[in-house]
Amino acid sequence: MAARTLRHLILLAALAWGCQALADDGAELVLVVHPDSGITTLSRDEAINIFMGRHRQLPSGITALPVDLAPARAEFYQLLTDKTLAQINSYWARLVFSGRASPPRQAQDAAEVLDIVANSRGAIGYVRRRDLSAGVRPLVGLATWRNLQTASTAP
Amino acid sequence: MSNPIRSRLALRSTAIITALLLGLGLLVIAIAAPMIARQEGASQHRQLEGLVNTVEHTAAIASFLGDDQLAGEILDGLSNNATVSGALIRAGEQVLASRGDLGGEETGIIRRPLMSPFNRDEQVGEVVLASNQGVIREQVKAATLLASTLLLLLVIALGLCVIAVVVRMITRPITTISNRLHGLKVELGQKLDIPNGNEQDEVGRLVRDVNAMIDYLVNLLNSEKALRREKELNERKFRAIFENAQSAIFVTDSQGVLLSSNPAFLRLFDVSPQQLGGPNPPLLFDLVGDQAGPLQARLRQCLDNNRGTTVEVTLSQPGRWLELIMNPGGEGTVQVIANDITAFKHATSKAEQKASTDALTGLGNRLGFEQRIHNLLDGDARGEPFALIYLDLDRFKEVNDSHGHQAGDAVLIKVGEILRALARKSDFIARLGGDEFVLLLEGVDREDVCTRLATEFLAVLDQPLALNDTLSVSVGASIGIAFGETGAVSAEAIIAQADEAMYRAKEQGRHRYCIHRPSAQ
Repeated sequence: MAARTLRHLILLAALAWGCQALADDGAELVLVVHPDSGITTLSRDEAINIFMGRHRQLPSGITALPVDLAPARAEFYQLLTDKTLAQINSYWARLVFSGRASPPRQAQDAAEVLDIVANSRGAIGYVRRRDLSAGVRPLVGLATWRNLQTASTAP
Repeated sequence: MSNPIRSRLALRSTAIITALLLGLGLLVIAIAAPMIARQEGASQHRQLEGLVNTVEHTAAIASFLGDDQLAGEILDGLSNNATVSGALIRAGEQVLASRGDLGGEETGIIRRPLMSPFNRDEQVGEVVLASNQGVIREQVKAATLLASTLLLLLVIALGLCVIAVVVRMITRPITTISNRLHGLKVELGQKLDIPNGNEQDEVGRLVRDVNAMIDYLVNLLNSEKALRREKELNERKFRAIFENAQSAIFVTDSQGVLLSSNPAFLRLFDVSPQQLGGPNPPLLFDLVGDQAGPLQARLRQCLDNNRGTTVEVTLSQPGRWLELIMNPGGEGTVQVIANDITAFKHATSKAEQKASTDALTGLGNRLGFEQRIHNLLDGDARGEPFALIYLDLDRFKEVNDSHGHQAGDAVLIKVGEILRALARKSDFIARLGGDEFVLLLEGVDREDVCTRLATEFLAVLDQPLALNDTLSVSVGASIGIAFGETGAVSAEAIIAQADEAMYRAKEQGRHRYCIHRPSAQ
């Protein structure tokens, strides 16, 4: 257990360092919502519940419409759920037949994400910090959760 | 024949071994059954745990999403398993889906908390699985039954193997030996063969021992046979001797019971075989008349001294002499060889008579007289009186000289006749030699008897004796008389006394008698 924990710590430290470098580069992924969505912040668990289909509404009560940025999907879910894209795909595949939950809408680039979020009150997506535009409200950089996660896992 | 278990070695040993194995098997089953049941129960539980493991991840997703559809599908899948009686998935406190009956025994329930797929610390629900205890019991029972059946089959197989081995190794060799023994002609020197493959083991040893015993017995039998033949031969020989012997041979006991006898015995004692074999066979003592008493005494003596003895027996009717040689025959019996010695006795007595008789006069001679007087005086009788008369002829020499010996002999014959006529029949008369005569009168103690006899004799001689038609001679006699008692006087003494009295008569003038008197001496 101790050895595993140590390995995680080293990995996370490396990731933190790398993201910091990205952040500096403006490559950090940032959650974005419609300015009228009624929310100004979102916890990581709330983000997971929305993107994994558990909650259909935003904390403010508006029906949620999550949007995936296809090119950054693997990085996003890795940061959000600590799972690979294959695991995420397998998760959604199990739910295909029940039809109760459906995966987020897929956008091909940052512009499409920004366009969907800017035009829908319940939409929630993610783009790189350098692609942010005025029509959306940035909520939180995913590096923060990583730091939180690092902090929470550290002890 | 009655009970095959008792009469068959293989069956008996098999029965015993099977019973032991069965007992052991039942014991093992009794011990193993609960263990098998526990094992099977645990195995069933593990299977159910495995089932839960299989569906856990998907169930966690269903709970995470609150997806009753997905939960229902999972439970449908679980319910296909026969050992599952019921199942349920919760999301939080809310029941997403349930199938079957969950109200069974508490022991059959498996609960597994469902954690969020994205947060291992957050419980999103629970899956509950109830096992079908009836089915599990059936399966446990089936498994136990299978194990028991296998064990039983093993026991039966083992029993059959034991029968086969016992029959092959023990019963068949023994039966083979037994059958061969039945048909064996031991007297022809036949031997038992060792069954193939048993040369080195106990069966082989048994056969060798039996053969050794047969050898021993056959040798014993042969020597016995030879002995018996020899004995038979001897017996026949002795039987022939016994049967053909001219001597009577018989065996008797002290009571005179005749135990066996030969044909000569029958002839000798004039007994018929029918008499002897009849219901009342004669005793030995019945056949010897008045000799029974003495014979019995001698028989006893022979047995008491355990020594052989010879007895002579006189049979008054029909006047025969028998010689019995008696030997103790053991166990209170006496073997007797009897011979008829009548002829021999007659010859002997004739010879004896001849020796003791004066051929001229037919009276006794000197030897006869001496025997007679010694018999009388040497006997056991005491105080029996007797008289002895000595007699010497006077002038006999003149007759001899003038008329010849023949005339002398005629005178002597004549005198003998006269004396015989005068004396009693029981009195003994002898001519001692020449013209000397003697008379022994047993039982006589009276003087007058003797004097009368002497007087009468002298009176006869007073007349001339007519020897033939032409010749007559005159002789006189000097007589001496002596008296005695048996046991009181010796033969020599009484003879001397009578002789002395006779010489006195001669001295006193001849032709007279003188009596010896003890006082006169």
